[in-house]
Amino acid sequence: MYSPTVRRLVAELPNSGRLSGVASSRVENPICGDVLELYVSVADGCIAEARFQATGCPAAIAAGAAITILSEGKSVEAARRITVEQLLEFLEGLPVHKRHGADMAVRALRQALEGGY
Amino acid sequence: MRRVYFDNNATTAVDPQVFEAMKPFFLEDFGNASSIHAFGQRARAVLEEARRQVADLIGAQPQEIVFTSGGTESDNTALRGVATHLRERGNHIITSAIEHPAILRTCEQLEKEGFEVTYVPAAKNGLIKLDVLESAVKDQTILLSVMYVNNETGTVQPLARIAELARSRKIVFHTDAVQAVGKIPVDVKQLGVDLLSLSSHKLHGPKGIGALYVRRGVRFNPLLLGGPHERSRRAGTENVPGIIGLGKACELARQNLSDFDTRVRGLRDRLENTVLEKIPDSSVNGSRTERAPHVTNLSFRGTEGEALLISLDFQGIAVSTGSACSSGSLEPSHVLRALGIPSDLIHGSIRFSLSRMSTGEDVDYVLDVLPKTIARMREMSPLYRER
Repeated sequence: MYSPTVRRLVAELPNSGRLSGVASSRVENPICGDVLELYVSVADGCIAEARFQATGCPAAIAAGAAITILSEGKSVEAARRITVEQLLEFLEGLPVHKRHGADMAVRALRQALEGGY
Repeated sequence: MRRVYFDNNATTAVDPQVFEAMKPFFLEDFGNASSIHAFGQRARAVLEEARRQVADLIGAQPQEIVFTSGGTESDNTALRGVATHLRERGNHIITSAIEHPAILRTCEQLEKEGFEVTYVPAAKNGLIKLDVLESAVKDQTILLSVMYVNNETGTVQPLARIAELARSRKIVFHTDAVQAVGKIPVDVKQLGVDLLSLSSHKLHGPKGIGALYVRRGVRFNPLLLGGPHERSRRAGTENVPGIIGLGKACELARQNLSDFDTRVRGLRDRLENTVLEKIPDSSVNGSRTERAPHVTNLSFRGTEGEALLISLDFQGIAVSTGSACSSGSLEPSHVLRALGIPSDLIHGSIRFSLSRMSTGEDVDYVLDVLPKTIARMREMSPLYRER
């Protein structure tokens, strides 16, 4: 049901946590109750650090972790261009009914970067 | 890494004695039990011995046991077989809202075929509402099906009381006892049931084999048509190794019943009590008293069951969750919903189901790993932070 990458991210929770005084966002899925928070610090036009917090299913947690891994070190412009498809590829796919996890993570990153940093 | 298997309501390990008993029936004694030569007669003899072993575990007569491919086939046979047989007498069936999908999906299909089905709700403790059941009975009611032990919470339903009602109204009474047989004493005569489903792989037997108890005199239309196997009640060449395995598993379960009630109950209670004491915001789903000795269904606020399951799995612990159903939808457990448990607690629910192979060391390991795992998940949960 879940790929080895999703399972590993859920078990290890890389980059989970919060950052203070940085750009952040919060995205919720009212249907299943998932909540994802993203924190990104930007230095010299690049994402220096990204952290996430999540309440939700493995898809939401793994997508939260994955978006932090994919965005760290990228320029803000490149991070904004990360797509749901790229995230799904990194995760080795998500079950069809759980793909909203990837949508939430991409949305959370774009929102955080829109809010100023 | 230590491996702990606490998902015995999903399936159990085959007992080595069961495996040994089955082995000769693949390579040496492989005859068809319907054949009249020596190979066949050997298979027939051991098959009838296995039928007696199954009957002995549930207080039945051997001729009242029909071998099937498992619990699902037994449930399908009982419901469809009785309903279609009695269609001239009535078209109303009563079951409960917390049944296994093998019952619920069959009932839904029967509704499409013109039967009317009443789904009796359960109270918060997991016991079905007997007053609602009683008032649902009408002249057209032909069949009543209520599970004995719930697979998710372990709640034990008062079957004898339900049987009394069924008998007084001449309604055929079936129970899905897949999670009860081999775990708690089951006596079909004392319970007063007409049909009872059981499954081999839930009691340390092989998969793909089960049985349906049919009280003498109860008639039904067979689900599978073909040869005159199982006294024309279930066509198809008998799965002899599977049947031998089921028979041996029943014999062993019978020998171990009292140990199961004391030792396994002790392990489950220690696990549950320590979790409730050590982990804040944890709670038990369903009755803690009217319950089989090997199950505890716990909710941990601020966590999500599937994520918790994966995290525990990485640490060698196998459990299950009511968080998302196996059909691949976003719907959580229909059983916990029927009990009125809030959705956040359903999403954070984990079922631990033990077996006679569970040990005190298994419980110690879970008690060491689980609190740390939950604390870690809660640390990254915005909803738990804001509670």
